[in-house]
Amino acid sequence: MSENKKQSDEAIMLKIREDLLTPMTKFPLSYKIWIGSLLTIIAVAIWGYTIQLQNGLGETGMRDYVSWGVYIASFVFFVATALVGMLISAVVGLVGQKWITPISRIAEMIALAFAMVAGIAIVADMGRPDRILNLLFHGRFQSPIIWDVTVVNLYIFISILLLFLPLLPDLGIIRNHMKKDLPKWQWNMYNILSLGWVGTPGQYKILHSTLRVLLILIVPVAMALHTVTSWLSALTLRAGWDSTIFGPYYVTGAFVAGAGAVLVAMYFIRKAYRLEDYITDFHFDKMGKLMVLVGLVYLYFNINEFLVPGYKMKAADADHIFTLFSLNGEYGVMFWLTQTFGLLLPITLGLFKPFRKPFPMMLIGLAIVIGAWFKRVIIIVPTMIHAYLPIQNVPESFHHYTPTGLEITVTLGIVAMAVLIISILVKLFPVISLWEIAEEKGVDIHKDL
Amino acid sequence: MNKLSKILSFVSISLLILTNVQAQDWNITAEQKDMKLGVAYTEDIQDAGNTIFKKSCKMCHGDVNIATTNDRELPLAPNLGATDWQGANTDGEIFTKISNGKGGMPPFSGSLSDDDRWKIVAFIRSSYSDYTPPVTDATADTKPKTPKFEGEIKDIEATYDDELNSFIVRIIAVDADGHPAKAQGIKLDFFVKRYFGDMALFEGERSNEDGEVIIEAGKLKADKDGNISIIARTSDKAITSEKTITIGYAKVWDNPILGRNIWGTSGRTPLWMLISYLVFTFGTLLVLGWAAFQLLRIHNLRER
Ligand code: HEC
Repeated sequence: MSENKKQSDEAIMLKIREDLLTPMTKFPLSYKIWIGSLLTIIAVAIWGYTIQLQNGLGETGMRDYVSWGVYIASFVFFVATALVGMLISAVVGLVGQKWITPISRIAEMIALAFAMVAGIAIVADMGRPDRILNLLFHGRFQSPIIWDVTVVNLYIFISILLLFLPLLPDLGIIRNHMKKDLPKWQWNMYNILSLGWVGTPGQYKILHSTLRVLLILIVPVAMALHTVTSWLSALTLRAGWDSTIFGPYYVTGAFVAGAGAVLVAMYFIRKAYRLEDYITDFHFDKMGKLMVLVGLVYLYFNINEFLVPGYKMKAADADHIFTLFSLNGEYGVMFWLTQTFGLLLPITLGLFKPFRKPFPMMLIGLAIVIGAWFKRVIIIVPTMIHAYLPIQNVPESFHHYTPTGLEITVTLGIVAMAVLIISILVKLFPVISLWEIAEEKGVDIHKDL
Repeated sequence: MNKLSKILSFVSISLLILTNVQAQDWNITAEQKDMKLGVAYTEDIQDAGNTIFKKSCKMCHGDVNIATTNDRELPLAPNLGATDWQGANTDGEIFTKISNGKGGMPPFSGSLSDDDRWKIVAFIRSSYSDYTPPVTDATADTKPKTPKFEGEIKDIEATYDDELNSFIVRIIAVDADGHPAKAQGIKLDFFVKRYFGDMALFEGERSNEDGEVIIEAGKLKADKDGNISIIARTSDKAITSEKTITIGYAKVWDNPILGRNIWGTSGRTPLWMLISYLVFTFGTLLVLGWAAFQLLRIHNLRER
């Protein structure tokens, strides 16, 4: 019996290794083109940024009144998307859903990548980035900006740990089986990173207990992260920001954006790595349902966020609401397109099973992600045009905000950087946790696999 | 259009304007004009009138300054101390104007009693030396409350008494023979200087038999050194004295920058905020450190 079991275990593991590790050793042309184009975009963005650095923020569309443009909107978007790490972790860690196993590492990678580039977006928005250290020397603990900087970094640390810990057994497997398939430096790296993992019950015990603590810890930290990000706006007295529900409004919005990002990533990774056996239609179906759930919660907060001031129409709010709601308003078209394609349609379509198939789910995810970015622009920019005091005696360009080509280039560069980080991570590390899949298939994992 | 019609239309338009102006007039009947002062013309009554005037009229008309003619133009309320105006108006006219109002002048018949309005008239008249009050039984037996001071006022002196927490405004005067004397019954004003207009502690208050007016300082705010600037004067403004008085208590000013406040520097973070921040940050870091330590334990469990 035990001999049989051992043999079947071996067979299962062989297939898992075959399926999940081989993509790491192959660099098809499409991957090279992909990385090459990302690098090109980043290079152009760096060139654009040096121009901005030389000539100052006047190169952007930002002026005295609108001092937060697409950079900050992107920052909020990145932080929002990064929150998916927490969403997925909470689903596993707190609710104990097992189906999410093959997706959780993808989510962690997205979270880490987006959290890391969020800071870059802030630096891009700075007129004098050379003074960034002043934040450390002269920052005030009263300022939500300091809270935000702190909590973004904490979140990055947790994300790294949450990515790294469950990788340990996989790294052990790679070390044991891939010595001949990998360049020497790469194998050495895995050897060191695996921390001498051999899969003893003792090691698993520590791994599990640490993971459980981190899965719980990430929930308050992520909540704090995005609540504080919302406070950057909500703690100021401005029409459209002066809202008590901004915290939950941001957090729930982040879940939607994150769910969308995961749907897109799942689709392309599954296609590129031929992981149809692991990321199945069932997973898209489940993710689709999760997306609808968080979407409904977000919709609820949207209704509160807009209906309440829209009903009262306080003077400055009324101006703001008009630009958003009326198709004649400056942001009316953008607002309704965003709400429709980024929220209403995804929720509605997601209710029907045929739309929860991989391809439609990917399209819906894409719409959500693009919508999420525009939604952040809608949250950040129009408010700045609606100052409480009248805007007088200023050049015409101060009254409106249109991002310049350079600004868009730099923004795209930052997005490309996030995608590049993800693309490299999925090449360097197995995108699906081998040992967890093996455990699900009944393989005895308490030994060196 | 011929010449005649032009003239006709000009005349009719002029008439229209004129009648309009007519409609804007005080419209005082002969009967109203002949009304006699309805109160006794005594200092007490005048003072009472002053009090009402300060409350209800001064915000528009300002002080009643004795002058030959009114120097303010509409829509500013006229100076009621203009002697030409005083001479041209009977008591009845002034009373009726106050009662009925016109244009920017509100009617007071509803808000002030007849008696109060007559008192104001008496007060206004007190600034007109050529005024002869109507002879009635009431005035016949009213002598001034205090005998009129006959000497000469030299100066006014204001001091602050710590124990009483009061200001003492004293008139320095000499009698007809040149000897120092106590000027009783002189009307005095007393102000504390403030950035946006002087604050009156009293106006038109009569000096007592010691030639003084004593007023409690109350919780008057001084500057950080305890100084306040005051103006003491006779109500007729003949003599004015301005000076800085040090009162016993300095202003205690909590500089809001110096406290632990949200708007302060990082060194002055409110404690609850600092503690929350540190607990959250270091609490999280502690757990993360613990997690990193677990990695070490995993490493130590490897089989050599
Ligand atoms: C809201 C400002 C205002 C207040 C308060 C006010 N007045 Fe007047 N008063 C005016 C104006 C303006 C005129 C001039 C009206 C005109 O000639 O069209 C005027 C005219 C007068 C006149 C007539 C002057 C003349 O040309 O014959 C008298 C008398 C007078 N006010 C007394 C008083 C008294 C007494 C009070 C307080 C009970 C008082 N007013 C309160 C604005 C005010």
